[in-house]
Amino acid sequence: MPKAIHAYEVLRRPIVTEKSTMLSAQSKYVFEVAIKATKPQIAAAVEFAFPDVHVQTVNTLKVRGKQKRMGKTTGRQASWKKAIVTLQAGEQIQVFEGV
Amino acid sequence: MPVTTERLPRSLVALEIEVEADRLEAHMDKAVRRLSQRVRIPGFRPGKAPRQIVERTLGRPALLQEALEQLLPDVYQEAVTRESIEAIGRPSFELKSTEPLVVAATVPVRPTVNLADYQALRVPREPATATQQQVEEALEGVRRRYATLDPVDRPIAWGDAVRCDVMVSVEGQAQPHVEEGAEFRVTEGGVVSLPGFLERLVGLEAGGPHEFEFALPEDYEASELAGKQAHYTVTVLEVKQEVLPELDDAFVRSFDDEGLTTVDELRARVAENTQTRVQLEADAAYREEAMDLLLASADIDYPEVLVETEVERHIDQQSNHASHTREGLERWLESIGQTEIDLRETLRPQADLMVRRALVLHRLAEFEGIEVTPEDIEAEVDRLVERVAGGFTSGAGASEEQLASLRSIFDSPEQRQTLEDQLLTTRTLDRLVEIVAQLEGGDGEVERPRGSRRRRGARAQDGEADEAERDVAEAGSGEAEGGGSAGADSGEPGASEAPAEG
Repeated sequence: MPKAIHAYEVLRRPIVTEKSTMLSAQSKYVFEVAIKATKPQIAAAVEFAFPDVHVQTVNTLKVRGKQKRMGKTTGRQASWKKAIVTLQAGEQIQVFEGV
Repeated sequence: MPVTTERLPRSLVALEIEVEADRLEAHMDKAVRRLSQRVRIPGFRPGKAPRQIVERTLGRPALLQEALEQLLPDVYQEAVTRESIEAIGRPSFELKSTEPLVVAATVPVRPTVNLADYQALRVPREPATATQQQVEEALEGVRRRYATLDPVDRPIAWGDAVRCDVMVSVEGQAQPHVEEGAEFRVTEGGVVSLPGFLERLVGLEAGGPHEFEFALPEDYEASELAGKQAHYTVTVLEVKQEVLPELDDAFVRSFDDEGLTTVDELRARVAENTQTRVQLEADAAYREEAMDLLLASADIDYPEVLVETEVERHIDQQSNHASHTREGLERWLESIGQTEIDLRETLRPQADLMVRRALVLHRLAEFEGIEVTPEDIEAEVDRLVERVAGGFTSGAGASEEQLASLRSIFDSPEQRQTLEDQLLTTRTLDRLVEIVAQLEGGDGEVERPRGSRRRRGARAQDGEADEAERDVAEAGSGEAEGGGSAGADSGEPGASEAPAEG
């Protein structure tokens, strides 16, 4: 049983790139989400944050943090979870909150 | 695109242009495309970001500014064409509102020059005659040129030439200034060495040493010397008197001039020359006066830019074109010790006058239909070449080659333009003089001097041929000779090229 997370904590930020902009034409929206969030949680969170839309599918993937080096010390960027949320055909989100 | 125009004083026109929303949008789109090429937005390759994203990152004002950069000249040009405004300078823009987009532009336009009833202007013309005294002075000038200096044995008087050893020490100066065998003239009102020195020299006998001391004037330019005591020790070595040659036939014959053998002939020649000079001076003064009158009677509205341009031209000329580059200008300003602002301020009144004169004269030339044709310029070039050529190869005539190279000096497009302007100005001024010199009580009809002349142009009344002009200048007494009788304000188009013989 996954731990319950509040909708605001599930969705961290929208991903605004060339690729994501192209996807939005197919009603697919890309977010960075909490790494522990499940697909149902993400779906619920999106429907909660944007009341007028219905989530059809959620695809997720983990982006592994890269190995980074600062002089001698090495470090690792945090890994995060990316979610591609497909809405019902034709539905749109204005992803301008810039969180 | 609604445009309202308003005429402002000083030849400015204020335009208020409202730009339609679609048009603005179209330009905004273009602006976005241009901007996104330049701006890096994370997540997008340059130029690939959609408009929304660009707008959000850069902000609408930035986009608007970019859009206006192209939009403004466009709509301005359009508005100017539609309202048929003859702009002569750059407009200044002001954004009145953005929704809807309203732009106010202020632009200088062609000056309006309203000549008052210039045909009615009259300036009394004083006959210019050389006085007996002027002739005598000129005659004495001739003698003075051939004067000899003869040593005399008497105290120094005004007008003498002296040679002396001078030692001068000014209070506070450690080393006295010594000059031996200094030769100079003791001219009344002149200054040699320090002011006051010559005055004290008069009356001294040859020999010496003479010592005297006096205070320099308080307002002497060299402030470190002003008001100080100057101590002189002078040994007068020689006193020479200026001896004018006797004015007799022998003197006249020494000129080796065929036409001159007697004193009377010389006197007549000098009188004639003096008369010519006096006449020329009077003519020039009269032209000035006429010009001033015309200027005073005219109602001119002209934009500031014209004055600015004139000021610029002045600076350019004075600085020998150093002002073409910023550094050059600064170096030059430094060398004359003025700041640019000061310099501009000092040049302004002069430039202002020049502009007003030029405007009024141009207007007059327009009214009077005075024009300069390419042939006129050609003739002027010929005249100049001839004069210069005659100048340096006395009599013998310059070679073909020399003539050609001379001609090339005057025959450049810029030179031609200058010549044209000069000719036009001269002719217009002459015409002006002709008008104002008419006798009181004229009925507005301008009498024109005899002589073959050409008329041209739609409103042409009077395009003078050179000879005719000279006739006027030499007529002198101020009464225009009777001749052609075309009323200058009848507005009848003159027949092109038709000789208007009186």
